[in-house]
This record gives sequence, C-alpha cells and structure tokens, in this order.
Amino acid sequence: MKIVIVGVGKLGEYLAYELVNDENEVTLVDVSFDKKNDLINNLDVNYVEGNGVDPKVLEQAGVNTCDLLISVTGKDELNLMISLIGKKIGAKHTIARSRNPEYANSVSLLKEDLGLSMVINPEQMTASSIARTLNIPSALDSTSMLKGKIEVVTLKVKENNKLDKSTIRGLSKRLGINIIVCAIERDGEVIVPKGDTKLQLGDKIHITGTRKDINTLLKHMGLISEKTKKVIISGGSAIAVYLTNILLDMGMSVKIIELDKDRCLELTEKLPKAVIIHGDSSDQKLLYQEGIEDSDAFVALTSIDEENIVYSMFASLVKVPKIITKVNHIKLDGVLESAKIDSTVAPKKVASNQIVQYVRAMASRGGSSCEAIYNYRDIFELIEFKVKDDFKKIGVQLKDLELKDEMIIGAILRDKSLIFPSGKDTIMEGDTIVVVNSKNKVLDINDILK
Amino acid sequence: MKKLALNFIGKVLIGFSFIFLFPELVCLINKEPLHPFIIPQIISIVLGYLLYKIQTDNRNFYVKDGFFIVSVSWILVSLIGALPLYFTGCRYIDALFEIISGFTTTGATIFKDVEVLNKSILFWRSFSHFIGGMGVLAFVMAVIPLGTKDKSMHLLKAEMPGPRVEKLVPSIKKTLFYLFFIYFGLTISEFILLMIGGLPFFDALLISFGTAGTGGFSVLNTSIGSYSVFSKIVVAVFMFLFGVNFNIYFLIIMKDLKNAFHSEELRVYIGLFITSFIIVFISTYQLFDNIGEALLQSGFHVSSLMTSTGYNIGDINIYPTNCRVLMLLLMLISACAGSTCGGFKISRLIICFKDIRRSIRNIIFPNRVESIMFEGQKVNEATIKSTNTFLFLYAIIIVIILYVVSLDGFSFETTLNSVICTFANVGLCFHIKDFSMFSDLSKIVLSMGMLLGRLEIFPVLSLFIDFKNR
Repeated sequence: MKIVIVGVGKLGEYLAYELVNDENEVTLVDVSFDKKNDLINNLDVNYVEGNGVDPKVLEQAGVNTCDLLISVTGKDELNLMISLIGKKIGAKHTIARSRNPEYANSVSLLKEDLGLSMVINPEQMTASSIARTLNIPSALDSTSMLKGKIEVVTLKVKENNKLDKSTIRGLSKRLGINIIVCAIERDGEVIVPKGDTKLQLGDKIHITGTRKDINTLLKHMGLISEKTKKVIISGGSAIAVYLTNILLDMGMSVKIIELDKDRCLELTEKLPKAVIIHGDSSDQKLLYQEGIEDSDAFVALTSIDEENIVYSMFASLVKVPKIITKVNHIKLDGVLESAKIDSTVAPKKVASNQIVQYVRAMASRGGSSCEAIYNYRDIFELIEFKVKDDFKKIGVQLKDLELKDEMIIGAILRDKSLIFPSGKDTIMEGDTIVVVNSKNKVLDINDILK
Repeated sequence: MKKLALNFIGKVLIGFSFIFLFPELVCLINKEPLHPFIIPQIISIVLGYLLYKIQTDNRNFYVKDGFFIVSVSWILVSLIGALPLYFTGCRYIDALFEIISGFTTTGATIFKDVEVLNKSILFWRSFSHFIGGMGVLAFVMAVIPLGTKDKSMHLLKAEMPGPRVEKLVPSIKKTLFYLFFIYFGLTISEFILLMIGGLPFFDALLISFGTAGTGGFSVLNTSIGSYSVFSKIVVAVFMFLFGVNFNIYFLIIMKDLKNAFHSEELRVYIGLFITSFIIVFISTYQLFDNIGEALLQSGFHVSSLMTSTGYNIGDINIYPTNCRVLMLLLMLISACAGSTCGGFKISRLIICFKDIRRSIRNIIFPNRVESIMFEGQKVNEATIKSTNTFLFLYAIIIVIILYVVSLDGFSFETTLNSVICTFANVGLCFHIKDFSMFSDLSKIVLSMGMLLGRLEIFPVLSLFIDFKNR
C-alpha cells in the first residue's frame, strides 16, 4: 500500500517504522528533514520537504495516487486541512490526528463531511488504556480483545503469589480455568511458553482469558486488591483531562497536581468534580500533604518523561499500590525495568497501534480481515482475524494445522460463543480467531501457516 | 571493524561468483578453455563464504559501513575479476588495469590488438562494463536477493553517482527494479537496432554492453569505425541517451512529461552537447570529404567523450587544438548525475556555479540572504559544502596522479590526457591508443584513479581516514 505521512514528529516517526515494517511504501512530508538524517537513511522511505498544506508538495509526495494519507503534524487545524486537500487531489483514505479536547465533539460531527476515514486522538486513547489498567489494579497492563469477550493482562510473579514453580497446564487444571500464557519475560529475555514451562519469581507474564477466569486466577494469586478509589495524577495535560472524566464516571476520586496556576484554573472549569492542586509534584511535603500514602494509584502524566519517571520512583518508595508512568520518547530499553517502573504508557504507541491495525484491515479488504491488533512493546502481538473463505485450512483440525513456530491460536469466537481451542477443534468460515504471535511477521491470515 | 560489513561483503562475493556463469556460457559455445573463469569463481565463493560465516546480531547500518562495504567490495571484485585475463596470458598488473577499466566503465585498454583475444575474454571485458555501469553492488543486489533486511540507503548512496541520491519510489527494492528496467530496456533496444544495422550477434551484444555502461571496450581494433553508418548513428544516439539521468526516464514512464523536460540538468546537458557539437563541426568540417561525414564524426565523438564512453569512428588526433581543449573539458564535466557516466557530473557543476554566483552577490550585497535552488528544490547547505569539497578533491587528485605519471617521461599533453581519460572514466584520448607503454607504477596509480573517479572519491578516501576511531 502507498501511504503518505505528513508531519514527522514522535508519532509520525514511530508510525513510519511500524508501517515500513509491514511492507508498505511510505513517503514522509515535513517542513524540514535537517535533524532526521538517521530516519531517512536507515528506513526504506522517500521524503519530500515542504509544507503539507501545499497541494504541489502533496502531489510531489504522490498523494494523488496514494491509498492512505495520514496527517499527524503538531496542529489539529492543519491536520484537518491537509486531509481535506489530500482527499480533494485523490487520496483514497485519510486519517487525521486531532487531540484538542475542545475539538473532540466538533470533529466527530464533521468527520463525514471532511471525508475522513478515521480521526485519531492519541491522548484520549491513552486515557482509556490507563483507565482500563486502573480497573484491574493488579495487572501492569491490560486490554480487551474480541470486543471485550477476552482480556489480556500483564502480571508480575511476586513472592506470595502461589504461582512460583507451578506449570501453566497444572495451574489451569487445578483451578478449572482456560487461560493462555502468551509470553513470559524473564531476566530481559522473552520466552514463548509451552504447557510444561515453569513460572519463576520475578517473571512478567502476559495472559489471555475471559474476565471471569482471569479473576479466578487473580484471586488464587492473592492479587485481587481492593478497587481503586483514590487516584493522584501529576500533570494536568490533555490526557489527564480525558482520564479524569473516565475515572470520575467510574466513581473514583481524582486529584490533579499541576504546576501552572493558569492551567489549574482552566482545569477547575473543565473538571469541576476533580480536586485540582496547584503545586510542584517534586515537592515531597506537598505529596504527603495531599495523601500520596493513602492513595490507591499514582499516574504521572507531565510532558517530560524524566520527571514522570522520578515521580513514579518516589510513589513506588512510599508504596502506592498502582503506578502508571507516561514515557513517550525515551528509548533506553531496560532502564525503566531496573528503576522498578512496570506500567508505562506511550501515546504514540497507542495511536500507532490503532493506525497499523486500520492499515492491515484495509490491505486485507475482501479477504479475511484483521480486526484488531494488540502489540506489547514489540515482544508479542495478538491479532484478531475475521475468517473468510480465503483461509486455506478451513475445517482442518488444529492439531493437523501446521502453524509457524511459536504461534498459538488463542481463542475462537463462533456465533457469540467463545471456544478455547484444543487439538480437535477446527476453524470455520465466519469465525473470529485470536492468534498469539511473537516472532513471525503476520500480515495476512495465511501467514500463520508454515 | 564491524562484523556486519564483512558479512555483507561475503554475500556480495557469493553473489558475484554467479556472474561468472555468463562468460562460462560463452566459453562453452565457442569451445574455449573454462578454467580462467572457474578458478576465480571458486575463489569468490570460498572467500565469500568465509566472510559470510562471520555472523553478528547487530543489524544496525551506518554511513561508514556503507562506504566501507562499497569500496572494499569494488577492490575485491576487481582483484578477482582480473584473474580470467591473467590466466589467459596477461601480466597480473595489466589484467588488473584492464578489469578495473572495465568495472569503472572507463574502457582504457592495455591490449595493442584486441582482435586476437578469445571470445570469452572479449565478452568478460564488455560484460564488466555492463555490471559496473549500474554498480557492482546494485547489480548483485538486483540479480541475487541478499535478504530483505539488507535494504539500506547507505549502500545506494555510496555507489550511485551524483551529489544527492534520490529514490524514485519509497522502497529501495522497487527503485532498483525501475532503474534496471530502464537500463535493460535501453540496452536491449540498442542491441536490436544494431542487429538491424547489420552487426554480428556477438558484436552487437558487446557494443550494447559497452554503450550501456558508457564504457568503451570494443571488439575490433577500429572500435566502431568499421561498422555501417546506421550503426554508428545508433551508437552515438544511445551513448547520449545513457548520459541522461535515469530519473528522467522514470518520469517519462510515469507519463510525467512536464517535469521530465523541465529538468534543469537535462536542459544544460542538451545545451552543452549542441554547443560543443556546433563548435567541433565548424572547426573540423574542412578535414572531411563531405558534410555528412563531418557531421557524423563530430556528433559521434562529442557524444562519446561527453558521456565518458570512449568509442571512436576515426582518428581523433587530427582535430585542431581548440577542439581538443574543448573535449578535455567535456570529459572532465561529463554528463548527468544518476546516469552511468563518470566525471564531475553536470548537476554538481550547476550547484557549484550557483554557489559561486551567491558568494559574489554576498560580497556586493552583504545583507542579502539566498537559498540555492536546483530542480525546483532547495539544496541544503551540507550538499553544497560537500559539492565544493568534491570539486577541490577532484582537482587535487588529478594533480597528484599527473605528477606520478609524469615520471614516465611522456610529453605533457600525453600525460594529461592519460590522467583525465582514466580519472573521468572516459577511456579514449588523444595520442594514446593503448596503455601498455606506461610503467607498472603508472598503471597502478591510474587504476586507483579510475576507482576513485567511479566511486566519486569519498567512499574510497574514507577507508584511509580515521580508521582507528570506528
């Protein structure tokens, strides 16, 4: 597919990497590429220097013949305008980023008139992802697949978890539940588990299963902590606004600590039900005074990654049960783990996942389409496929299905009933399946076969 | 030293070993001995495999690796490629000179009489032009898939001629596909036209290879001189066509004629050609029997020298001095970037002139701010700086080689001719029929000059600069 990305910021750059990795032809447009030599030399992309609002520039980048135009410049208005122009000169689909909370309603109102295929709001997406994680506090990360039929959670095996040394198969049998362990992170390495893999202390495990089964497991592990009630958010950014709205709806109490006085006043208008504190999150006294010790969760959402990390480390020191850290651009793998920061969110990744998913669905239009993707830090991914007649092995028993190495069929959804497949089950047309994939490249449903 | 680079060179050598299959086929058809090609083929495979076995997890690729891979690959490929000539009775130094002349598409020969050579050797010489024209690595990458992960822009940048390398389409794989589509398409068209012009199959094939790479090795001692007038015109036209930036052909394929003919470089190229053609014609028409012959002679030779090909259809030593000086200048400038030609390239010349104009304006109007535009786009300052550096290096290297060759004691004009005609990858020059008369030292230095000229100096020089700090 031919894709043009206008605006090569954090999200644009990350998207370019992901989309090229999926074998798309990507052209980048930005006002200047002076500081992006590394990107354009190492990545198989073309680039055009110029203002994306100029139809000539867009045409030079091949928008008139492209399948998808993604505008992710720093300004919402610009993105909408670029998408509109792109659509006019012949782009088949357009995606624009719009992140100003004040535009959220008007953009969804105009979406069709602007010819937009999709409006992405990374901040809003991030907020819902954080909210989901806060809902299952013992998980480091969580999401749902198959339209909420199954959950994917990330857990850490701790001392009193009763998980240590038991095998996955033994555990499922003993508790009578169906769960699948997608991946285990142990000492910086990723293990794709088999039935007899033993869990160890300190493992980070990624599990899928129904909400009920996962709850049973969490109960067994002694991980069902009390529901999150008090949340402290550091930094009154756009994400904080979206998040606070969701959390308040869920009945939690939210305190936002913001450094800028004017911003605080703005927040009080936007979020009348939240408690807004004017102060510095690096002030220990203030944090104690606002009751950080008694809070159930701490979310660091300032615009500076380093600050978020330090605040989270402090929260971890005073034993806040659940800490979520926004880390958007630091790429030093392993540093966060060693600082005991387990739950992180990156808006650019959340948004890019959404777009990559859309692109794959576009690419497979007509055939079995990819409905959803959950990618966890490039360690493993869960892909949801709607099976159509182009799948080569319809009706073949799973044990005879020659899957690629380290590939698991995690779940099958057939007419609203969920199947956790064994060797005797088959994949039928019309099913929705979830594939757990860690090392292979899966762009099409038939890619799962050898 | 990065292991990845060595591993990659291994792959290139393994790929290169397959190229020997073509001359071997010629050997089989003409019942000539096979060992001159099989031995280097085995050496290439074994050496390639040994390097390939150096595995590494680090897959990151940087500019320095691209430069290193390209320079070292070219040197190794030349060392191995010289062996077939060596096994058929040539001295190794001569063989090396000849094959570097082939891969760099120079076309300067050390053979006094090429008509006595085996057909397979003749084929190998001309085929080396064809491989070298697009670049040894590009050829290997296009013919043999090196794995999808090895699609780095750095290699293309190091090997492709021109001040800035642009991809035609976002993916390198497809860009290479289009480039080779154009390259093969033009070569096949010329081959068919030459067959129509009455050339034997073998001659037509080899002359097409020589024109495609803008090389200049021929099958007969008279170069193109003994063929029909139609064939001479075909060769002249195709030499000119291979001097055009391949991006232009891509735009034509994409039916974007407006942009194709608006190219500044193309206009300067055509203008320069026509002006030189008229000057040479006016200066020489009284030397020939009829106007037609004079037109053909001047057109052919201007096209041949300007595109750094080096075919001839008659004695060029009869030209008056003003034509010789003009032609030396054309050889130094050469044709468009992104073509198979050698030399300084017209796009660099345009950028240099625009920079000079800006500098002078800056002296008169100190507060004036100005960007240099080329092909409708702003040229960034780094490109301008590296173009100026290139000009300086280009001059300095000519002077250094000139001094070393002058030790042989030939006249100043002969020495200058020999240096420019090898460094600019032309291969044809005044007063020199072949290079066998030069000393071994000169041959080595001229060979290095050819490599420097073809790879556009920077990759080769980078091998010697800051080697320890990598």
